[in-house]
Amino acid sequence: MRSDVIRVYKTVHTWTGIVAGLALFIAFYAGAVTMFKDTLNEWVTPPAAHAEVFPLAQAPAVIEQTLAAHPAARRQFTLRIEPAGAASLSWREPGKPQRFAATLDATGKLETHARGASNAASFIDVLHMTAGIPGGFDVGMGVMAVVSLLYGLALVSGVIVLLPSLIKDLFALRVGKNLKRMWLDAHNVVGILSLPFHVVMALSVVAFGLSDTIFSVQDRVIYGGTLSATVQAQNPYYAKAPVVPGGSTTLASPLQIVAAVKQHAPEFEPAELIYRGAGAPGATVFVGGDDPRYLARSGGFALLDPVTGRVLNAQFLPGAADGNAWSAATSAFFALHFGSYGGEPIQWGYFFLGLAGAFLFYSGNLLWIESRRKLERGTDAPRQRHATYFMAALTVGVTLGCVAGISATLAAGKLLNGRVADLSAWHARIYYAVFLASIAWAFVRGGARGSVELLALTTGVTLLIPVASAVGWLFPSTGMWFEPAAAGVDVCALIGAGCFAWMLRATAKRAATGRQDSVWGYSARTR
Amino acid sequence: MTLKTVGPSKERNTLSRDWLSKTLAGVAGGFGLGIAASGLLACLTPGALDVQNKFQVAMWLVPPVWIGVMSASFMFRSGVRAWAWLGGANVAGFAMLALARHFFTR
Repeated sequence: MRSDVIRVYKTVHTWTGIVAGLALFIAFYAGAVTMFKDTLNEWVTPPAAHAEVFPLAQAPAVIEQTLAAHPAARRQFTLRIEPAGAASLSWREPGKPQRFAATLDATGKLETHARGASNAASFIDVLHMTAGIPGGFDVGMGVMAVVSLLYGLALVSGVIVLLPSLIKDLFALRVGKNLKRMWLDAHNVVGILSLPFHVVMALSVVAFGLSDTIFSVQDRVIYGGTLSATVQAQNPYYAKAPVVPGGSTTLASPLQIVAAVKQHAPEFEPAELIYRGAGAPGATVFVGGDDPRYLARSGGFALLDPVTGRVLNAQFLPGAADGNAWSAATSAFFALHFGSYGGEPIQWGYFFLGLAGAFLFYSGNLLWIESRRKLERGTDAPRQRHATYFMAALTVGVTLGCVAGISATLAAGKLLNGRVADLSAWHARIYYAVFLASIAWAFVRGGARGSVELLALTTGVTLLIPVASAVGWLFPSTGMWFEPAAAGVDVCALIGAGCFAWMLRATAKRAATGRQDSVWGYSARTR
Repeated sequence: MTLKTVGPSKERNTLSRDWLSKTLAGVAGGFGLGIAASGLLACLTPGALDVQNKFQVAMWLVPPVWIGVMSASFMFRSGVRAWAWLGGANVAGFAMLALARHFFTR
């Protein structure tokens, strides 16, 4: 390959990478954690909420009494199918932060419970989608789509730059004195081996964030103004069931709904039924679930008429005959982004690929800094460029601030449960406080000291996660608890804290005894 | 010796320039070509425009074309050439789309 081509794409790779890298780090780290959203939800759900279940056979009675007593539930309520033939029912009251759940007491009378459970997992999910960019969800998604365009450019240019030496460099991880060489080898091997995953992510995020823009342009130049009607007619989430004048509005039993779905797709396991407009004409029930054998959108779902049990839209129901080839392709695009196929092995695969992606962006920033390093000549460590001090502080502040902030806000889901009124507001406050304070700290202390101290913070707050569970197990009077079904969260946090502690040791050693002609040496100035 | 070094350095100068112009040409031209390609996909594949979820696949075709063209735009020797070629490709693409809409849309 011509050297001038390599040079051009090296420049493209450098600048797209440095602009997009930190936002992508947050998206990938939070995304990796989000792969276990359900388990995180288990972890922050107090044991009392687990008791708010009833046998699935009782569901019609619970639904009927709930709708009679709580008009807000008519707009929308969720029936979750819990393990061992149980079910739970919950809904939201307008203007209140917590969800409400309903059960029947021994005499068959309705009991309602306010659920103070934390939404830490959803918070981390939104963080994953928006990188925590302020201005609301749509702004965050739009910015991330533009970041993803740069990310796509960085992928293409990175591969072009690496191509000439691919065979020579790929399986060479030269650990040794030349630290930049080692980081570059690691960056290359992770980037090339997880390239398909990254291509999927870059393309899908552009589609997610800019689909409205693309649709509106396509509507004008391709569909002649008919697109919104098409989209509305095929909307797999919202529809109105056909209204029969004078027809019944009595809901069929949830078991009948499940049976109707199963008749369409026998291997599909429904997990939750979301009723909209129950009791009024045109009501629908959205059935979400999973069939790990398929590349299914969000695991797969269908929309039914809750009165007749008739299927209204099953184009994304895996294994059903309703979807065509276009639907299958669409399902695959979504499933490949979310890893909503193949069950647990794929979940873990995406978790590690996500962490590897975070490493890719972090190492990219390190390489940017190292490439601009001024080497030692003589006795004094030279003053490095301003830009590298700035980038070093920003990189450790953003990356470690994000990791520590996520650990802290998750731990707070257990530590603050029942102690504060609006837990979801606290999740945001805690994350942003830790994140912004970490960035400020990194700038005040400089990259070298900042990275060591922030790694200590990250190790500490990540340890809070298993500590909160251990305290809850040993001293239930504290109001905390240990949830065996979510013990994986505690184990992973413990392993994570161990990794951070190891990084802390290595970083401290490098800062103290490594070469001082670097922004990472203790003798480095802060700016 | 001197003659040999002139060639590559001259080439280097030709490619590494007009960054802003080439980038903008790639962003605008790539988006246009993505839309034209998605329109051709929608019109030329079997079934009407509103067949189930065809519009989804047509939307998903835009990002790969867009990013591909943006990446290629740095290979043009100058910003003017980038605009000329990508502009020409867009004119051709949308002309084909107009023909396809006229003759093949059901």
